[in-house]
Amino acid sequence: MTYDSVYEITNPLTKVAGQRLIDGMGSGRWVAKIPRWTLTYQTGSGATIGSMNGIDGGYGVQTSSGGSDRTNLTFNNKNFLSNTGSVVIWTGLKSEGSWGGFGMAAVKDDGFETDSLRLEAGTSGYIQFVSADNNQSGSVTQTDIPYSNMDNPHGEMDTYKCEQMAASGNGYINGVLKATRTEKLSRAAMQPVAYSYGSSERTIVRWCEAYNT
Amino acid sequence: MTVTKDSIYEHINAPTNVMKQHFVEYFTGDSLDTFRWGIVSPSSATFTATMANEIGGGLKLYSPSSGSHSGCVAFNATTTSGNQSPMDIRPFSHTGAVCVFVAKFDTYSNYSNGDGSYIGFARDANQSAGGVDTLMGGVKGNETTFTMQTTNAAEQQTRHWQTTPTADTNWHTWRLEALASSATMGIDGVLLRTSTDTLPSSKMGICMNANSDSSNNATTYVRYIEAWNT
Repeated sequence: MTYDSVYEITNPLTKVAGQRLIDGMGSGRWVAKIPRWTLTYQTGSGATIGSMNGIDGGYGVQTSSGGSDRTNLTFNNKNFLSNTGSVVIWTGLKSEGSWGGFGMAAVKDDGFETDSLRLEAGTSGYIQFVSADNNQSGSVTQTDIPYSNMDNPHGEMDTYKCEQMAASGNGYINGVLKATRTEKLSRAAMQPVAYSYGSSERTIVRWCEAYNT
Repeated sequence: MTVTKDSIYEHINAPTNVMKQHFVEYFTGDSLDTFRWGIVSPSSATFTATMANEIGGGLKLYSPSSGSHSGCVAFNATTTSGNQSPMDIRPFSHTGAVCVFVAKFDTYSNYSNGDGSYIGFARDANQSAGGVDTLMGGVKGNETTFTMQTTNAAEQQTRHWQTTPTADTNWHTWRLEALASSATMGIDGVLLRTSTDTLPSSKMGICMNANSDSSNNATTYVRYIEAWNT
């Protein structure tokens, strides 16, 4: 059986589809700026990476050399994802070192500390599932996946799914539910976000899908 | 039951079939993809086509009431003045093509009586009624229902086919199909209109236009469009 259209893979024609994004990132000649996306060098001047030239290479963003430098990949605050029903799915990894992560957030340049839902990892412990409301005070639930699994030496990208609902948020890694947040949930519309933090740190993504439910 | 396949290709084509031209645009991101789309409007116009910063908003076509207000977004190089006839890129067949889009129109009376706002197949990148050779769906200032527009270059005629449902301001899923001897339009999975005359007669691209009347602003939203040859 085949569908008549791509539309009908996820929606019957009798149902009006919500907003959706599908982006096979890195499948193009982009050097730095990638269509639809905004690179924000929240701290530091950033570094140009763009599409990786490798099999399943994806698209890379990188920080500059300062220890607190931060590069964010966002929609420039064009927030189409509902804080009461939306999903974002990223396939990606970060370079070994400081922090990186994937999710959705309302503000492109505040460290995603306002109205966000994200899976991120640092230099120790476990990948953590973070939610933040508009009081700029994120709260964390640890997963059971070591932080190093998000790093490049792990060798493979993984799939990170953040699901925002009216009274909770779920974080999945490679299709398995790893954490649920019921407090400090976003109170505003959001955009897909990925980021890299630290000195010359790189985050690479090759798939982003986001939609309202 | 969810069916998983190796590819999106195989969801819409048997692997033994060679896929024809097919595109999907989600209108999501920080800005309109101007590698694909161009904006046509008079040089003095205040017409804008921007990404909406709204939940589920998509692309926002804004046609103000004053000045030279009309404009369109189409498969053409960006042009700041006038229409482009024909449109630069026209990959879709007038005898076998489908267009599905999700859109929300303003109150119908906010659009001009003559041109309104239409989305779908067109030969020209035309800021008003889509030019010659069209199959489009939308609203018109003096029609209380949604309408299907067909135009034939040889006849030099445009037909506005009314439908049963009142033109509301809600999101709807539209489906247009150009066939060898007819054209159809459906909304939300229901076939509403079939025409067998005044059919497009040459290859077409995609055009989305908005044209307000002289006393009201008009805004058309499009969050998804897909088109393919059959």
